[in-house]
Amino acid sequence: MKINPIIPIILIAVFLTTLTVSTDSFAHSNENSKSRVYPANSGADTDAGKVITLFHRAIKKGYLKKARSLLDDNVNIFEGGKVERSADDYANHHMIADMKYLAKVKTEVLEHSVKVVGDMAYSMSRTKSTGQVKGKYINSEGMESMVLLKKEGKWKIAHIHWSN
Amino acid sequence: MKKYIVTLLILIMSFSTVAHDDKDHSNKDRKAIIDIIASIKYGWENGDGLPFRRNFLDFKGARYIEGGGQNEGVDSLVSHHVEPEKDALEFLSLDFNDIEVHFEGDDKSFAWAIADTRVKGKVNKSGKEFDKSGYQTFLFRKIDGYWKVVHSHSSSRDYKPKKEHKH
Repeated sequence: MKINPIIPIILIAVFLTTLTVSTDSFAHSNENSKSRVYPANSGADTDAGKVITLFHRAIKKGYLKKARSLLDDNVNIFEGGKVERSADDYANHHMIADMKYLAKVKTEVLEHSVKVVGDMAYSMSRTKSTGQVKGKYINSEGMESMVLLKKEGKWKIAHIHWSN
Repeated sequence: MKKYIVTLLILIMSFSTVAHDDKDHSNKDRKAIIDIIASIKYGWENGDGLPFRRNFLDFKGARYIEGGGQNEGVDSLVSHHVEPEKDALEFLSLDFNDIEVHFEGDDKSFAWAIADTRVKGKVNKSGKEFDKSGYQTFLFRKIDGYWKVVHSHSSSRDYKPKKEHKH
């Protein structure tokens, strides 16, 4: 049986393409699972800033209990034209959807600033999200404002405003 | 005995005066913040940058977020958004509802306010009308006795009336 000389070339090309695509996918999924990197001197290393970074990490990794524990019971969360009026409301409604979404995108911190004023702190950040969610390509900038309060020695997030 | 009663009465009166002063002070601060929010409404509706320049603190790192974009400082907010909208829009109405103001710190020199918003308008060029509802966050600091906006964040979506629950 005579083999057409073009067939091995096609097979090698298909093999190389598959290898490239899977390496690329692996690299992307690795990128997506990475935690955010905060700019130097942003205030992320303050006690209040650490609560913010822990919260971001918890919702990225799907740690529901941890994320809930960093929110004040009476937190107000504005997100996508909707509002959640308590930590339990958020934990029982949008938090899971946010976790699923964030697990699929890479989030790059473009700007972040935490200001601490006594027992309160506020934070502003701008991020870029890229990835693919439910077949849709994501490439968007997001804004986040937060208010944190220190109660009984513990910093908690009292307000979040997310928009994009 | 009389002495003790008089001392007790004086103490009670001074405590109630302090409490009354605190309440007065808090009401005054709340009114000052509500007035600033009202002036911001006026500024947006009339394309007037003055209420923003008067009440927003301009500092390095100031960020005022509007509709998914951010303005670095008061000048950017006024010159890129507030004033141009006067010519671009046939009309603009902005309402802040259910305003909540929270004061923080031992000296109550920080405040944050949140509100529901409703914004309606008509674009001159296209004739397109819009009706959006959303939310507003304002952060304030009291500087030299005056409240100043140090950060604001507003976001909105096309208005959708709440569906009535049928039982």
